[in-house]
Amino acid sequence: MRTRILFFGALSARLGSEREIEIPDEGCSVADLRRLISAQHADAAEALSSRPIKVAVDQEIVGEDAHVMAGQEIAFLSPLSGG
Amino acid sequence: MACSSRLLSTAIAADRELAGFIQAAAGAGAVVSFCGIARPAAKSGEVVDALHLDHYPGMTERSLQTIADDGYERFDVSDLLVVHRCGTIKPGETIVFVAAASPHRRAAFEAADYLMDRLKTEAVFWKREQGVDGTRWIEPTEGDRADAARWGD
Repeated sequence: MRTRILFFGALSARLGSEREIEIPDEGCSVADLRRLISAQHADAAEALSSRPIKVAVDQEIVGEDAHVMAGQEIAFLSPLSGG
Repeated sequence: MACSSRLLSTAIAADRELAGFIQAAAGAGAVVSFCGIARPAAKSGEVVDALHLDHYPGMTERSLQTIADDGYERFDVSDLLVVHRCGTIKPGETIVFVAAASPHRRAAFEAADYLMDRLKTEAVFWKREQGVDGTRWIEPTEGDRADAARWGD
């Protein structure tokens, strides 16, 4: 299923503010999501692995094992700058 | 007013914020406020033309309110306010305004200090300085992290 992925911080400067990817209908883990994005967007592979990039699902930071479904709000976050 | 936060994409009028806060905190014996102001130069000395604060709508506002709520719970304060800018900020403009009111001064000083330490490291923003050589992303310094760690959260 096509799903929109949001990028924030330095990531958005490199990859744009969002991309669409195809994820399995039954969903996948966050770790799988990283692999899927890298496979479907070659330029994202390095950006997603070069810094400690956190993932938020429905605006909550989640771990690598968290399960993600299409239709949820998924965001990759560069390290926060703080205020 | 008791414990509130706001995210603004337009200028923060710190004087008006403070006047409103003092009025709302009537009965308090102490009010402490702090303004964080955009500097005209980076740490390296390079001129900064503007600071850009990107945010994540929803998540950023919640991070501000969580920090304010934690401060409200932790200190003997009657009122707390956090006002934070997002978007493009010119040198000399206020980035953040915090205020704390309490029966006696110590709690208000500590609460304002606490709010700023938490905001500097945990508020959901991505900051970049824009100068003649382009833009540079900014992350919390070791000093910022050490300041936040003082509170033991």
